[in-house]
Amino acid sequence: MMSQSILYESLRQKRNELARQANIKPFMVLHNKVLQEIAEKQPTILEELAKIKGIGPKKIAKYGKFILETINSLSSTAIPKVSEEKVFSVGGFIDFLNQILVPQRAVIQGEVGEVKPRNNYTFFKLLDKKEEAVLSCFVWNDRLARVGIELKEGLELKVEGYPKLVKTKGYFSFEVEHIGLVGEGALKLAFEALKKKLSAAGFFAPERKKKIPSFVEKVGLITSTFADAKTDFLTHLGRFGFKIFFYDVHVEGLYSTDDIVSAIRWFNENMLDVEILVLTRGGGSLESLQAFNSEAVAKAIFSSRIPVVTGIGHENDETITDLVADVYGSTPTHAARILSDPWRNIDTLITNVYRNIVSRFSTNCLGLQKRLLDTEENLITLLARLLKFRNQGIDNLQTFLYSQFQRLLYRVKQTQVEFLNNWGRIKNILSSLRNKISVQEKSLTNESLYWIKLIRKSLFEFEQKLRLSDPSVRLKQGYSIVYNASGKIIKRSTDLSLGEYVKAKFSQGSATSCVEKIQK
Amino acid sequence: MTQDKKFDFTSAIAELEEINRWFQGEDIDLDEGLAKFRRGLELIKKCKERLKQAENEFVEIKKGFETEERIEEPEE
Repeated sequence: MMSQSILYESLRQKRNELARQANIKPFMVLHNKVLQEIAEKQPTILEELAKIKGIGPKKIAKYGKFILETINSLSSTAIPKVSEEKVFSVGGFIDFLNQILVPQRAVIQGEVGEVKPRNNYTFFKLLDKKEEAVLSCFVWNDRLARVGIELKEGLELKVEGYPKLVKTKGYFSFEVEHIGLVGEGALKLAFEALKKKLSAAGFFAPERKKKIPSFVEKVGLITSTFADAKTDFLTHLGRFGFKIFFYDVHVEGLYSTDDIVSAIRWFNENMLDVEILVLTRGGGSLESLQAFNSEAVAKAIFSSRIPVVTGIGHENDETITDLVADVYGSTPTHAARILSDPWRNIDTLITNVYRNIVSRFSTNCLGLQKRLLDTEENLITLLARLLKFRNQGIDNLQTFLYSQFQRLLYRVKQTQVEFLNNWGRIKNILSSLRNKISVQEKSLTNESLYWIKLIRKSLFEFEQKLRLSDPSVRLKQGYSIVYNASGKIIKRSTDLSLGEYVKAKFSQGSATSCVEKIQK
Repeated sequence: MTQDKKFDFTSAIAELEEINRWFQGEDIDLDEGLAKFRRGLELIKKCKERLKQAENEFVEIKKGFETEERIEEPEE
């Protein structure tokens, strides 16, 4: 069997080349995960390849040939040898060299020399001053950003990556994939700078910290399989029916930052029902804790939807991760206690609640029972009285009823006597009233008779007077009335004129005469 | 591990505390009290059962390498 890493790198290079030719993303050709598995199983025939997870019939038809060729060519020549007759094209030769170079991954420590930043990537020299050696390095800027530092001349670094010849330009380059700082001084400075930057950006603000549930059941544990922190955490977690999903990461070294970021992302993308993420590792130097002071991890925690609890290092270690975490546990043990203490104490609380509600409820029931008893007692007394009454016998009842009747009768009689007494008085009042009325009546009759006489008398007198003034009566006495021709009564002789005819009316009959002489 | 997926320990405890507070009150209606008392005992029973499920479950996640690769060659 050949080295897994060499085969993996070789497959990766070929896969990338295929992707480039097809103008698609490398993972669309084959996932790294699949390549990893192929490198591990190293199938030599298609049937074996088909057993690899994540590679279906379509992929086998398309890429099966290239995979098997790569495996078989490498297994026959672990390090390719150049046959003397072989003539390479330039590209072919560089490809051939890269086949050897690229798998040579390495970690190199050195001091930063000249830095040439470009838009998306940066070229820099890594120097070895003692031996006057120079390594041309290339790094993508987002990889650089993960460290959260600016590349400056003189900075001591550890870089991880692989060597390669750049085909189109013909120069040698070390492709840096991971960067770490070296030296407490530089790390301390980087730490302070990042702390200031993230603090200003609100990463540590208490109001944006996510709340953790009171009783956590599903835990995402992010640490290294080999870390003491893992044992510490699990031991102190106790046994409360936790479901722990463990994601193995490097907690130290150049891979740790990427690993931790991937782990946090993985939980957020694949297992959102995990209630909390625990990020933990034991104590260490500032250099070994680098990942926990990186901007990339801080950002991953900040944007995690699942709350993050830390337990990093010793009591006094302060990391950026601790500051940005939703809940800060000072050590792996502390982180475990944060999750398990509520469970540890809840038993007492439940017992207390139980006692409390039982006692309150039964006290209440007792009160009610007492009230019921009181009512019952009252009823019994009442019933007893009734019974007693009944026991005195029905004879008594008869006597009782008779006496009641007698009383009633007496009352009626009394009322009658009272009425009769009153009746005499009423009669008196009535007769005196009648007398008064008859007296009034009499006097009224007398008076009216008097008035009638009086009126009659005066009427008679009037009649007499009237009768006397009647002209016909005067005429009977011998008086006569003289009228002129027009019928007017003549009262003065001056009203007459000579020769005028006048009529004289008598008691019986009349006569017309002529005026011959007038005496005044 | 909880058998009953609907049973949420945190909310059960919150409800228990609420019932407890209710019983601290002055006038307790008997019918309501009986209902709450029964509910309380039921929750206590469930919580105690959950607490008995002491064994932790440990699952290791098999992870993939989903990182996207870049293949273009840089220009100096």
